[in-house]
Amino acid sequence: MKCDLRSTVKTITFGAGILFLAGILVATGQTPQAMAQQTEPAAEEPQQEDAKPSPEAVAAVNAKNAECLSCHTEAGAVTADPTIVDLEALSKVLIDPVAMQASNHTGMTCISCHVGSYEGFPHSGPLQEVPGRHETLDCVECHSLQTWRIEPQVAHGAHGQNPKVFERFDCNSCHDSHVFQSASKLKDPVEIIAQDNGMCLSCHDSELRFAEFTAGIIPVPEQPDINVIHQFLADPERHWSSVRCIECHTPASETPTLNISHKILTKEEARRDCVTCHSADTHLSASLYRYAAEQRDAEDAGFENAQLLSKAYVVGATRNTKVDQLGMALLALILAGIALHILGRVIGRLMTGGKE
Amino acid sequence: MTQRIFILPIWIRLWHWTNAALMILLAISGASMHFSGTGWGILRFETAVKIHNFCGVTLLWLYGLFILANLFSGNLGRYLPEMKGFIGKSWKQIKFYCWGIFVGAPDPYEPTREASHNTLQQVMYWAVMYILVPIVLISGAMFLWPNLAPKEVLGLDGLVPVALVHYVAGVVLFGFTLMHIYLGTTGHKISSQFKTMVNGYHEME
Repeated sequence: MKCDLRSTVKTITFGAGILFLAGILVATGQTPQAMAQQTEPAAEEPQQEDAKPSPEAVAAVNAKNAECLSCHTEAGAVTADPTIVDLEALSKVLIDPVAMQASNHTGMTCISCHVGSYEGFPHSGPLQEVPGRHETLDCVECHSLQTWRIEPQVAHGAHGQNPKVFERFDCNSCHDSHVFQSASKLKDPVEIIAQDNGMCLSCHDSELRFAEFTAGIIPVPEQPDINVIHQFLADPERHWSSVRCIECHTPASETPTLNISHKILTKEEARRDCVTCHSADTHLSASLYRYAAEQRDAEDAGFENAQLLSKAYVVGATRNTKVDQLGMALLALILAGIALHILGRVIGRLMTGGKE
Repeated sequence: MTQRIFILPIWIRLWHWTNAALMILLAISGASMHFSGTGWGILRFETAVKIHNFCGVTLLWLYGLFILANLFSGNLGRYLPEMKGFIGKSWKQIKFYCWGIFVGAPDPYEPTREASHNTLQQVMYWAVMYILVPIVLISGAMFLWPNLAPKEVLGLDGLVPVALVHYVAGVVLFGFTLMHIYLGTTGHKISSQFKTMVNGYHEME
C-alpha cells in the first residue's frame, strides 16, 4: 500500500513536470529551436549541426511570422491600410526579412521576443515600452550566460566611461538582433569584417547616430577622419578591408580559445603592436580566422597560419618556412664559398711569399 | 707610384652608392618584417615598414632614371658583352677567380673607360639589373599597391605568389650583394676597387 502510494506520487510529480515545461513553451510562444538557442553556451561557439528544425516546424514559424511581416517590411508598409495602421509609427519598425532569415535568430517567431500587446492585431495596449512592463524581451531572457559575462566587459570599456551614455546602451546598440550573425555562422572572414566593422562605423562614421547616445550628455564631437587618426598603420584602407576594428580595440585574451572580449578599448588603451597580428603567433588565427576553412595544401607546402591565405597574405604571419629554409641555405652556401675563397687567397699568399 | 685611369663618371658612382645604401636598408627592413616576432628582426615592425616603403619607392624611381640615363648617355655599351671570343674570355676569367687569384696570377682583364667590366661581370650585371632587380621592383610594387596584384591565384589570395617571388628574388639579390662586396676585394689591392667606386679611378696592375 505504502509502495503504491509512493509510485502514484512519483507519477503525478513527473506528469506535472512535463505539463509545466509544455506550459512554458506555449506561454512564451517559442519554438523548440528557440529554446535550444537559450542554452547555447556562447554566441561565437560552433553551432550543433543536429539542431536543424523539421520542415514542418520551419513552415509553422514562417506562417506565423508572415502575419507580422505583412506590415513590418518595406513591401508590407506600402500595402498597409492607412485607416487602421499608423504609417509613421510603422515606418520606424520595419525589418529586412531576407536579413532576418539569414540572422542568428532565424527560425524564431517574432512573438518569441515581442510579447504582450504585440501578440495579435490590432495590437492591444500601449505600443511603446513601459518601464516595468516589457513588451519586448531583453536579450538576457535567453542569453543570460553571455550577458552575465559580457555586460561588465562593456561597462569597463570605452562605452562605459560615461555612466549616462552607458545607460543608453544595450546589446541592440551594436548587434541588431534582426540582422546579426555570429562569426561561427558567417565563417567567411570578409563577411565577418563587413558586419563587425559596420557596427562600429554606424556610429563612429555618423554624427546623427553618435548623437543618439550622447545628446544632452556631452557635445557631439566632430567625427574625425578614420584614416587620419590611424595613420600609424602602414595602409589604413587595406586594414579596414582585412581586419576588424576590434582586433586592436579589444584586449588580448590569455586563452585564445575564449570568445573575443566585449571590453572596447579607447585609442589610448588599444593595441598598437603590429606583431600581435604580423607574426607566426598571429592573433588572427584565434579570432577573425577562427572559423575559416583550412588550407591543407598550403599548410603542407610549408605556409604558416595557412587558413589566412584564402583571403590575405599577412607579412610575418603567413611566411613559408620551407622557402625560408631554402633562402637561408642559399645564403649559407654563398658565405661558405666566400670563406673558402678567402682561405684559398690566404694560403696562396703564404705560399707565394705575400704576393697575391 | 701606382698608375691609374679614370673610368667611372660621378653620376654612376652616386647612383651605385645610393643603390647600395637602399639595398642594405631594404634587406634589413625586409628581413625584420618577414621574420617579425621571431627575434631575427632587427627593426621594430612599424619602423621596418616605413623604411622599406620609402626605400622601395626611391629605388623604383632610381631604376626609372637608370633606364633613361642608360638610353641617352650611351652608358649601355659599357656593360654589353662582346659576343666575339665570349666563351674564351669568360673561361680565362673563371680560371682567374678559381685558381689564378690564389697563386698570384694577374687579372686577365684590364678595365677601360669604355668597358669597365670583364665578361663575367657584364653577364652578371645584365642578369641582376635587367632580370633580378625588375622582378624585385615589380613584385614589391604589387605588395605596396595590392590593386596591381591578381585578386586570387589557385584559391589563395593573389598576394601569396607575389610574396613568394618577392622574397626569393630579394634573397638572391642579397646573396649577389654579399658576393659583389667580396669580389670588390679582388682588385690590385684589397681596397683598390672600393677606391675606384669612390674616386672613379682604376688603379693599374
